[in-house]
Amino acid sequence: MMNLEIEYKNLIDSELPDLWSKIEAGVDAYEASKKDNNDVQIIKTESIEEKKTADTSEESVLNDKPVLIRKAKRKQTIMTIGKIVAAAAVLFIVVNSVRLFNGTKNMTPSADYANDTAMADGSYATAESAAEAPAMADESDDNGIIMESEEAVEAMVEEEADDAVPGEGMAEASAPETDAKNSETQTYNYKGEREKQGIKADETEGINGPDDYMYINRLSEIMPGLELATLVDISKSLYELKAGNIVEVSEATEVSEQDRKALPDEVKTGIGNNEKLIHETLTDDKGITYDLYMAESDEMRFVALYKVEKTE
Amino acid sequence: MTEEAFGLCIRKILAGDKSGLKEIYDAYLGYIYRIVYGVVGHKEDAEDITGEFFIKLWQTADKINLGSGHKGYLATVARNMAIDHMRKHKREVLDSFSATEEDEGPVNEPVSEANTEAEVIENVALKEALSRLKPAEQQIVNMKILGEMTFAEIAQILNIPMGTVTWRYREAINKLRRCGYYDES
Repeated sequence: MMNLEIEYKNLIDSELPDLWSKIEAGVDAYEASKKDNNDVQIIKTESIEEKKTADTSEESVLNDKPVLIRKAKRKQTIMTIGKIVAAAAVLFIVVNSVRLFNGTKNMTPSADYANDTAMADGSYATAESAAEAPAMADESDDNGIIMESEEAVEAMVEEEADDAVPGEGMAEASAPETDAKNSETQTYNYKGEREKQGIKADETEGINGPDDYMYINRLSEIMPGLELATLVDISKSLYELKAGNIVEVSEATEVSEQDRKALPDEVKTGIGNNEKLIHETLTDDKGITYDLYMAESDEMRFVALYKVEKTE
Repeated sequence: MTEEAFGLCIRKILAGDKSGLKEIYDAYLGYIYRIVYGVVGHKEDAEDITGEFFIKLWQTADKINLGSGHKGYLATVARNMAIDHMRKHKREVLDSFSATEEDEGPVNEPVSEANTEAEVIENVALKEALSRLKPAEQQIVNMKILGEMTFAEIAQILNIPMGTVTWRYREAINKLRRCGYYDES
């Protein structure tokens, strides 16, 4: 067996090009242009000095003219920039006011709904999360963190909130629909964990709300390149498992066919025939680790996330 | 090259003496070329960028902080130049990369005459082994081994998940192992 690194470097070294003449020519050209620039600067300095000496003459009035034009131009540019900034500020205020107005409008009925129907049926959490949605969206604006992915997430959150609380009297009708969505997204990620906690599969707690998305920024930093949809799925699961801030992610490894047999059914059934099952371990700031399973074909797709219980 | 020797070369450059640059060129051409080639994966581009690197070194010699690990500094500058080039000409670089793979393949590249027969066989074998990799795998192997980059850096530059990078690298290493090459990392 041969050492790949050494062999490959030797191979490249054996075919090194001779670039010295090219570099030497480049250096000469640079030095020549530098010399030319110096000459031009000397000429410029001389002409300025000539102007200064001629300043007392009547012709100096003409010489001053360009300076005045430059000043006027500068003033004009500053004014234009000022106008643009002012317009942007007005637009920002208007957009935020509209959002805030919409937010309070959405919050009231769903909060009422939440109070009225609290504990009465499984849709409590849905109404609660719908109330949280605009509040969270505003909060992220307050922090001034504007990122493309956040905007996309915000849009998704607002969409969810709209779905859940279309208006008074409609909340109850839409709640089961949202529950159905939730149960669909939850079945494959934290079913095992929920069963451990004694929660039945059909006992839907509702969508976790925009709090899910607090993990997205962090995940996009430490796991660059993942699709937004995948990040959202992982974030939802992390929220569900009450994970802290994710501080570490292990290297990805493929789970062999044999190892797959020991995994829960939702993992086994969550991957397609031509997909590879990839495993990574996430660690949060509390030192708790999470097993993340993703399916890989052209890109990574979320399959499942489990909290690793420490056994002593 | 020691820090002192490098410092002396820089002082020569600042005095307008090209022999300072020539000494650095002789000492680090292979090192810089490997890093650049590792990132761009294209011979002609790597030659251009390496040439530009040494010209830039001449131009910015007065800004170099002497005595603080010049080798790492040179590697960082070379890598950044290659990455900049790759970002500017991403499409062309990738096209030419795959064209080399499909049309000619590294097997057909000329081997230096100075090599012994044994080395030539070895080189051809390595080229053959590399030609069995997919273009995407070879790019990651180049970046990791020649470009001396981390998986996270590769993922960021190629804009793909780090899991995909590590996976492709491992696949490539497995293929190369079958050809008799192992990777210590």
